[in-house]
Amino acid sequence: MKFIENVSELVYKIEKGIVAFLCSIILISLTLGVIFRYVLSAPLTWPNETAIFSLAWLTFVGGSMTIKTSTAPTIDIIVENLRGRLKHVINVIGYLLMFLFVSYIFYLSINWLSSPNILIQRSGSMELPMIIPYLSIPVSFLFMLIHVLELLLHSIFPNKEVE
Amino acid sequence: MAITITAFIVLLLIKIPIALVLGMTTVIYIWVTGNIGILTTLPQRLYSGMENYGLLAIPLFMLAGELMNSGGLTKRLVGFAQTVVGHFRGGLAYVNILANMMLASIIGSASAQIAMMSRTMVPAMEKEGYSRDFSTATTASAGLLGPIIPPSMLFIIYGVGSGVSIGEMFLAGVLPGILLSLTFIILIALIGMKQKWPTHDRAKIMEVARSFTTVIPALLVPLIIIVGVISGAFTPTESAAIASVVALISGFFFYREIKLKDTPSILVNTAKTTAMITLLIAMANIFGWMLSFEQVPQTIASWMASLTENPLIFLLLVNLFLLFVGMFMDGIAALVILIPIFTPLLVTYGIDPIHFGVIMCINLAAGLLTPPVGSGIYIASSLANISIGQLTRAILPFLLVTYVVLVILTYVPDIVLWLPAVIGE
Amino acid sequence: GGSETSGSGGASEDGTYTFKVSHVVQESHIWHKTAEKFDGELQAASDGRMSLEIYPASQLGLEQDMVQQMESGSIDFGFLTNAYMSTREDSLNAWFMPFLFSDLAEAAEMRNSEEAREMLASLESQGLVGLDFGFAGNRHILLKEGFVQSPEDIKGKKVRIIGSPAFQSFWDKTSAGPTAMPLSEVYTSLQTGVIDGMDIDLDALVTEKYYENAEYLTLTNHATFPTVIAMSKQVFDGLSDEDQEIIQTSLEKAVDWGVEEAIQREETNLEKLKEEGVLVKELDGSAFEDVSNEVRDEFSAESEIIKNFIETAE
Ligand code: NA
Ligand code: NA
Repeated sequence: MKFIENVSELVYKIEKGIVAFLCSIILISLTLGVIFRYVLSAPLTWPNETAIFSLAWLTFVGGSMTIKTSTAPTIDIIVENLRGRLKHVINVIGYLLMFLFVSYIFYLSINWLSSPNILIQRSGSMELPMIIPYLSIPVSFLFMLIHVLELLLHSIFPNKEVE
Repeated sequence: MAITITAFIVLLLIKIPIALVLGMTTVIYIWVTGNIGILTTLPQRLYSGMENYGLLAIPLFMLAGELMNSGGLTKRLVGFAQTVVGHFRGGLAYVNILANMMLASIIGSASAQIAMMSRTMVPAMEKEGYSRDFSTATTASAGLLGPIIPPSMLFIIYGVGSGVSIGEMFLAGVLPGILLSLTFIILIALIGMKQKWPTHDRAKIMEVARSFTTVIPALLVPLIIIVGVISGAFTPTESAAIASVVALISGFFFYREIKLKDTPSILVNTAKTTAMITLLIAMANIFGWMLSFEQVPQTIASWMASLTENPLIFLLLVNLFLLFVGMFMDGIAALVILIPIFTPLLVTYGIDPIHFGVIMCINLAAGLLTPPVGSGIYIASSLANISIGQLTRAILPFLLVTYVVLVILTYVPDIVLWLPAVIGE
Repeated sequence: GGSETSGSGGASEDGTYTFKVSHVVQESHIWHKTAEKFDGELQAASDGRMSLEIYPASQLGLEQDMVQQMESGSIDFGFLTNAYMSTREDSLNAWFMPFLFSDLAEAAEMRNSEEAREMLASLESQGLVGLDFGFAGNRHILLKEGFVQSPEDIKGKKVRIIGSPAFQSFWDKTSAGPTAMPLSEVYTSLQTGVIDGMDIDLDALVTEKYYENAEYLTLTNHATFPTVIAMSKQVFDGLSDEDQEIIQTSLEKAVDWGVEEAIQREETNLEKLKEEGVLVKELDGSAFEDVSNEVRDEFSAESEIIKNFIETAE
């Protein structure tokens, strides 16, 4: 229990570093794009693709962070008005389903990227191997898996943190 | 299909993040139909939902907003608004609207704007003798301008989802935003006449001048966005990038309120608020694909067509439906789910997709202020420390005029379409 | 695909099929019309046993999604742009070699060349049975100001292009500033000068009315713009020889019709554009000879098929 908590915290720190970096890349590449087009009249071709690939990584890694911090939008009107045991059971079921789903997508994405046809795909303008943006899915779903597992265990054994 | 719909509703109600519910429902649908082969394509579709240039505007406008706040730009805009209109009866209430209009031309989200303004405007108004209920209601309602006056997250998402130009959506939001601001001002004047509000001393001309000089760098940001959008010199995504850079420079060098050590947390906050939206969009991409696969839009279209052939009645029904959805679901979530269902119907009724988009977005934004589910009222009530019930009562007149504006926009499409058409000449 | 659920494609017990066809263009586009024609031919040839369900405008996803769904057999047919497929299969860049064809009819003749067959065959390793090539109009250049008679005329101009290796290479070498941009932003971008022009086909020019913001059209025919029509290999292999035959001949008839139609449209579109007051001039491609030779050499070195294709076409 303590172990998974620590892993989840560590992953969260790594995620923070990744998304801060990606955010800067999006800003810098698009700003350079504008400068080169307007000021230097020599449009660049890489900024758009770079920014789009960064957004994909940012979405899934950042998405994992919103799951960890329970800040992803939910409809909580029913659960928040419940009390006691029922609320507890529903919470556990919710996390269990999330855990199953995230594991399943993780598994599917590993299958997807092991297909030989992935390696032949290149991007339209930079001709970058598409595996680079594609990897955002398995990596971030693995992160998400760790966070959801921690949330699940926490919801099953809510008293553990007091000890 | 019945199993899928039931699963969708149950999963939503047990507080699973909406983004994940969209993905889970799709998986369940595929299992039920036995078409297991399709499952292998889910991760690919999840990814390709993000391959869209327009979506880049989301993190950039978020970043501009974060930088405005931590750079002290927001504060100066509010101060400036106060020196200009603060001396009228109910002055601070108008200041609230005006400052929200300015802020709305930088920030694209109502929740962000309500959170930002509740902290500054509510205490200020209370100090001058306005009731806390009214102060909070004014602030929360004025926050609706956020996604209507460009830039707007809702418009970006609608543009991306429906294939309409984001730039034109932005233009289409200008007049409705001004119209809504005016109706709020009239409403405040009417309430003010009854309640004998305080007046503020007129600011001396020197004070106005001083406030104006300090606000110039802060005003540059909305100026760049508005001019960029109207002149089309930049794509919406580019104007978001430039606005962020200007906000960064102003906060760093002019106001010196952004410290180097603050930047990581600004970036992380931006990324998290962005991901809340874009993860939803990625998941909605596989959900929308399920809907197309099952030909849901066509089914709804033929059902709607059997109900009415009149576009006005159709729009009325859609408005009522959105009002209902907006009571229970976050605007952005509702938008990403409903775009693939509604936009194919527009051709049948001959409705302009831009007109429809503006109506849809305003309606769903207003949902932020409708109980029982409304993140806008929750944010405002918790920051201002009043009960949801109190706030709901105080906000009711504002909501009513918002719906009146919505009806006007529905039946007078020109208010929405005139500006994009004129600029498009 | 291969499943037996109602309405989602594939076989039922009595050998009737409803195939799912996916593509990325609007319903008014010639590729969609070709798909509809294919449906008609298929129903006639199979006595109603086989028919199509057509999903236009990327309803079932972008092209990378379509290919994957075809690989797994959940979509049966796809009309894939050659631009996208050329990022997965080098030899397809052959169609984009600059100034290889002086009009659409010339380009369409190469459809039955041995090299075209080889390109289609090379898709097998990706889980696709390449069946045929369809065509949209050839590519021309639309500018806000001036016609194009030599690379000098487009030097430093911001031109919206299609994201594909061959287009990128050609435009880089002309010393214009190629810019990739989503189509939804092109109209306003032309109007406001974010871009100075675009690489375009006449069909899109007529339907999207870009000429309202840029009226100089140079008929360059600098490349053609095919679609790769492919079937899921998994589904194809599951059919009887007789059914495979029906599909191939029905599609061939539909594409024959579609190609003729596309050539016709090229003419009627040009008429319409002239009526709308668009200024039109033809290009004599000789000024671009150096540029186009460089591109041709670069891509010939990468693929034997491209090299032979260029020779056959010439
Ligand atoms: Na705004
Ligand atoms: Na609500």
